[in-house]
Amino acid sequence: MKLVPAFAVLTTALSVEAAHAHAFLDHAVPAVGSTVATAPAQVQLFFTQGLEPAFSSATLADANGQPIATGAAVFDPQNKMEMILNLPKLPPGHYKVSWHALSVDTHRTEGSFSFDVQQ
Amino acid sequence: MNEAWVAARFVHFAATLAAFGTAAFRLYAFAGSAPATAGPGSAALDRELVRLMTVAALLSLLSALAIVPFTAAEMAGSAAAAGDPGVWWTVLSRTAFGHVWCWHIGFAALLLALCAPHRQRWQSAAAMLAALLLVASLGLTGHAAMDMGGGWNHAINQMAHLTAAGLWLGGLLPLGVLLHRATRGGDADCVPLARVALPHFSQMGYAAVALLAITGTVNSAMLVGSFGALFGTPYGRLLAVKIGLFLAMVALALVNRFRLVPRMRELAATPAALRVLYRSVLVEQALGLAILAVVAVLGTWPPAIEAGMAMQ
Repeated sequence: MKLVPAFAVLTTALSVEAAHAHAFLDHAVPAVGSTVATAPAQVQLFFTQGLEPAFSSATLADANGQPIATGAAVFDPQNKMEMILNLPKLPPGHYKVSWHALSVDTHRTEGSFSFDVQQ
Repeated sequence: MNEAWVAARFVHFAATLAAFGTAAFRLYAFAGSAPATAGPGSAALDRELVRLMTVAALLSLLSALAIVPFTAAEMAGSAAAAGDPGVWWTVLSRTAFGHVWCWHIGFAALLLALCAPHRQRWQSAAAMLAALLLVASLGLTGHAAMDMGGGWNHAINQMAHLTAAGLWLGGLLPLGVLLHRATRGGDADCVPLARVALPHFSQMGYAAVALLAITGTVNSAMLVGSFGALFGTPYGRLLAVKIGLFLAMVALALVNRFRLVPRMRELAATPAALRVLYRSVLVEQALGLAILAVVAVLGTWPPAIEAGMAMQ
């Protein structure tokens, strides 16, 4: 029963280097919810953990929810925490990025965010 | 779908740990006691242990293969992917999990090949090595190994945890076989064999339990994060159940070690003590299986450490 205090001590000591099994969006460029002056050539999504490129993707839709053709999401082989979606020339408007991520420990997460291109 | 996946994981953990525990038991249980192992009872016992190891290796291999379609469905996010060999291939060839799993399946096949009837001692050692690789490669998959924060430290911790679990939980299976033979009568060789094996199993048990407690604590700290999350999240509460089952096993093992094993110093008291011990080992096996059932579910849930992040 000495394990319980030992557990508490170690838990506190080690909590700083805790593990994250699922990948969540850390930040994006253009930033989540931001308005940009000029149409970006790409969206960069930065995740909290490495992704499996074979099972991770992102799509873009306009203000009416119509999908916009983009290239497939690409990954930097050196940094699998970053996903890049190359965009066509975007007219001013409201855009929604939807992402599906598979973390390297085989768990799926998904989410979406919007950004605006200024008139 | 999810139930079948959890069932495949349960069978895989149980079979893999049993295979390693049995392969190791054959090497350490009777080490350095040639007189006790000279009789025909010893050879018959070893043949049964090899059969046990063969069945465990086969189940480990089959369940490792069965886990692939479930993982494909999980990764692709659609149940249909479970029936699509193209997705299986993508999983095995293009993901970190798949690369480890190819090796893992290979080690299971190697162990099965080494289970062929053998007379040479090197074959027993080779089987133990293949089983060790099988257990250790399992430690490279799942929550523990694949995170970015802990890196190799966490993977090594998890490999040590699984190795210790294989030695102790897995070792309860061959120990149970030996005690069964020793208590059913008509197998006179097995009583002295049990008297030789029990102190060896105890010594191994001390080390394995200590290693399990240390590596389990480190693992919990990494995947739960705080003492509050241990009781405040579903993952944490299920992990607390696992820790409770583990402590119950340790308590039972200590009772056996300090109340039953000493009685066996007297030959006359041995058969009765062996019968009590055999029943107790069966209870420990059941507790061990309950722990593996908990683990089979836990790995499919998000760790408690993420509960805060997921809500953002």
